[in-house]
Amino acid sequence: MEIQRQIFIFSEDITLVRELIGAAQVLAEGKPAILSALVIGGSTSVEQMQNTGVDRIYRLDTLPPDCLVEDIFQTLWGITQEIKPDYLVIGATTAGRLICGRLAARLNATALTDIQSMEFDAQGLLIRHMVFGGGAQRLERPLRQPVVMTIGKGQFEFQAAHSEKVAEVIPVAFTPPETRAILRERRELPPVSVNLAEAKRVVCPGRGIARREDLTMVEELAHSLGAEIACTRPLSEGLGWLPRERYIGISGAYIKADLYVGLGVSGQVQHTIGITDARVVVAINRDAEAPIFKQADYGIVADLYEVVPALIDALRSA
Amino acid sequence: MNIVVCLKITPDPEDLEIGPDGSVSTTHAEWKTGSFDLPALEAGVRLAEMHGGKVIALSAGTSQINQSKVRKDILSRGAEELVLVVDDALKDASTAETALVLEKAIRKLTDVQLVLFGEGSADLYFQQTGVQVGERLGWVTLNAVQDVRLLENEALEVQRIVEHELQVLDVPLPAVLCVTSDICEPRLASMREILRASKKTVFEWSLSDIGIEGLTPSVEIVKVMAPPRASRKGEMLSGSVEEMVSALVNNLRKDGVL
Repeated sequence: MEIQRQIFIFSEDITLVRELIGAAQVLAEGKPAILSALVIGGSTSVEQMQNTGVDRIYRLDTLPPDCLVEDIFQTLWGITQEIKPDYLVIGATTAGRLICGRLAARLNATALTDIQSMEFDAQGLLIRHMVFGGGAQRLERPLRQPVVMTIGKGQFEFQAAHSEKVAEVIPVAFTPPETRAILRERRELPPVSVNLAEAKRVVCPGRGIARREDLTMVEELAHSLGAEIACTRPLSEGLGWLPRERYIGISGAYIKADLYVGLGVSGQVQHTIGITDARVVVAINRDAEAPIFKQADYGIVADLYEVVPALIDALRSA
Repeated sequence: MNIVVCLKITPDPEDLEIGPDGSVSTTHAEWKTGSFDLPALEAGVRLAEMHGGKVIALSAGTSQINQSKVRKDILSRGAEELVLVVDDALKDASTAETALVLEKAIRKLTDVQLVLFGEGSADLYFQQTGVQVGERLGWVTLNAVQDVRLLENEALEVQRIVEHELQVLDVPLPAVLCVTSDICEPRLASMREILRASKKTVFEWSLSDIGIEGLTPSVEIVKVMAPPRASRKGEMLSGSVEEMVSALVNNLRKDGVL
């Protein structure tokens, strides 16, 4: 009999767990595998995982108050030493990325991050993920076992077949790390003002906007379109004109809007990767050579300072 | 204390060329220090300026990273020394190999208390190498750091942004921190610093200099290709501003997106 694959999943973000199970289903290749998960929290978290095909749920009640989620590493290490998984599937949160790296380093294993898809061929697992800021995709084959990977939101669908299997729940104790950072204070950041991923229409100023006060004109256009305001990364991180959650692209937001209007956006791939799923792309830019026009449905080569007021008028009078 | 700032020197992603068959080439790309790494260098230099100590910049890669323009650029931004681990075995190195090389190089340096990384490399952005180096060194390791202050008792006060929470932490030294791009704005080198840069020391180490005899790849790169692109109409509107705007509004209405 073939040895069953051991797959281990972890995310402190319970909303990611089903997608991790989805990824684990791919990794099992339709054969019986042993799926274990570590969960932080009470019985509701455990319930959410029951009948999903998970065999064993290692449950840690709670973390000490001055500890970080990442401090679960030593506990997690203990479990992985026990079950020796072939695949460790970690949710791609900030803590998850840190845990993934530490696991990979300690296991001298392969770390594969932000996986978009996986398949098996005759020689084994192949994964696909983005490189060059979204400019390219890379197909990779891990050459060492175990494989540690992170998976982000929206990449793997959970095949929701109800499983009769009731997972064994194994309580685990927290193993404190030898040295660690001491959490002195945690503050909720002000609620995110926008969820660009959900926006129906998006207006996106880029470097073609000369002054911060010109954003008033952009706001006016957004208002007449019923659109959210996004931006390119330099406007947010470089200039600080708009908050981080409003920039589109690699490490920023990915939109699925019906309409995207780029204002003075040059269209570098790091940005345009985030608008691939927009239904209609409009580009307004003075520079006819701007790469954004190659990815636009409608292009206007003109000064945005003339086009935007005219567009606002046209939308108002309509 | 010495502060090591790890930098990745890569082909500029903006110079990526996509062939008609979807192939991707970096042959004509300019090699430079990753834009996410420069804020880490600046953060290190500011700490050294405030509290003393020396910033040593460290990078590893093939002979393509060893260019005088790149070296000068790094040294004119405030690093006192530059260590380059150069070996063509580092071509397409994955995070596991790079982390091993950086760990060994850091161990060869003396009195290092703090190692800084950017949030991710310009070419791969896997956000892994820094945390792997931290684990290999066995030091306290944090990512998503957006502020670092040195406390008097040989510890750091660190602010970290984790999803929708800000954390304030006391971090014992030695430590490895991966800092976000908004930790600080990288400086523009002054004329004086540019002149001074050519007098600074660059160490070129081979893998055997740091005790590594051969690297086993942990990942095989099977294929690199352009990502699928949505097909777009590519309709360029013409005429006066008013005509173009009115054509646009009509088209958007036809498409049912207004």
